Amino acid sequence: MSLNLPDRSDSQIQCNDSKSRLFFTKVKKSYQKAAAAGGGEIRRFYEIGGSHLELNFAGLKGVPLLTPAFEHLISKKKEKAELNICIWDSASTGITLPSVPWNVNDCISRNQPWRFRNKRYDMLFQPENNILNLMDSALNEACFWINDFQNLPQYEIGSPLLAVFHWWFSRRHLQLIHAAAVGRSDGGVLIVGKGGSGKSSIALSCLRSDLLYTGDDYCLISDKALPTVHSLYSTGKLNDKDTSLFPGLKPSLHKPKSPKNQEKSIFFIHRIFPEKTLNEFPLKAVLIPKLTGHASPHIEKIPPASGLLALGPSTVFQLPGFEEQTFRNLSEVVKKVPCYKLELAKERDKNASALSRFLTHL
Amino acid sequence: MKYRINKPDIVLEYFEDETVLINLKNGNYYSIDKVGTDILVLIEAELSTDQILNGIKNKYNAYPGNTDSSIKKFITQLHNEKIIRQEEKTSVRDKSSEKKVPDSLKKGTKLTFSTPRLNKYTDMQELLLLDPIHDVDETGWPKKKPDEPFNQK
Repeated sequence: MSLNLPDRSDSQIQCNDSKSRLFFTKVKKSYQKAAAAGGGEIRRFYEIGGSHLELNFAGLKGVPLLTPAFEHLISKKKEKAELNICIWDSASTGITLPSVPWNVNDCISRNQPWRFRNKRYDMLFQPENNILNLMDSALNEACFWINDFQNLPQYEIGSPLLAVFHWWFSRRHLQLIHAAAVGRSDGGVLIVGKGGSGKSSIALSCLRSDLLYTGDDYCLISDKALPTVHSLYSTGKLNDKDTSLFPGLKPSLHKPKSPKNQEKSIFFIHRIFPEKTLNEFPLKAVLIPKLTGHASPHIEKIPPASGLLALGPSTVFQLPGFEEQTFRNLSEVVKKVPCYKLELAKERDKNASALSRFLTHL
Repeated sequence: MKYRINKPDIVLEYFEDETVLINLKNGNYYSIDKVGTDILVLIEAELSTDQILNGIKNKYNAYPGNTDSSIKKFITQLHNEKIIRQEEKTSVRDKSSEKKVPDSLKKGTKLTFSTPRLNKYTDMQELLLLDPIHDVDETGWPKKKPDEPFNQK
């Protein structure tokens, strides 16, 4: 798997290096002012996919919102992080973003969120939620800003800092991947497909089996000959109709603030089932679930191209930048491990048992 | 007439009997069967339409008439989907350096020809087609409209 930067520039905004550098410096200064105004800097350290990361918060407000998803990856090492991420909001600190450094007529992309990318800097501004993600890959520093933490969207609580992690790990031989991941320490599977395909459903079922949980929606995968899957978020998702299957979870559920976009309730697996989390495993297979309503589950080998059809587009179009590289890396994954179709039975526990038996014999 | 793969908008991966393609610009993605994959390989080798027809007929047992028209129809389909683009001009240098049919399409027993198939998937467009936001505040950042739909996954 080659993780070289692609030649193609996918910048939507014309922003040269000096403008980018100046903008990053201004954003970083704004963060420092916010930290002073917010009552000081809160530091948290994590070991994710082999990288030692430091999250710096300007005040306490964002800490309980952005950190639970990777609480299971807290690092004991409290210094010399490889990547520092500065996080703040304007509402609690009174410090706003610096002005946009480019001409607005040049930078609004047709039908795209605002973003730019050059060899050193990546930026994604999400206007719908007033969120800025910015990274300087030479200084190994990133910034995450939101106008008001009170308006932090549900997806950002369940899968925080996704853009920054994608930019960081894409330069470090790890590919962020849109998939659920379950297994045992000696091997596991990725469950891939677009939203609503049954990924979360089967991953949740595994909590009631002997299989362990590495991720529900996103995880990281290495480029070794036998790829290793690394946990990123320990977030579980539940539809309203599924809550009856896990009655004990009810008090721990974070429900979406509004019913828009059919968002699911989320919870943090490691807080409730700490014995069920698994931080990494060697990848044995890629599975594509299909909801059938049959009495018994059925697993059948499929060509690698079918695996890429399920895995490639749903990952590529959810991550900002490195699209071609991401597609190539995912192509390598389905060529290295076998792909299977998993026809899910109506009775969920049967699916998890079948998956466990399948993995044992793989 | 010659075509090229419409890079960088199109990224593709060849498998033994199939090809998977993504259009990064509009979110459409595709799978192409074995015969279509062989045609695509010849397009990527920068062969002319006539050379592509000959290359496919070298590898497959073809039926006169039908084969040519189904290959040409498939190439038109690829063009209409912006997977390939027509070469603007053939340079003098290009004319002099005759491209050859790749070895993979010459060797072995002839296979049975079937109409090349392009399967199109459009379910990822929603992740790309976000509403443009044109209003900005005094610092130049986009302003959220009060009734704006929630677009992010």
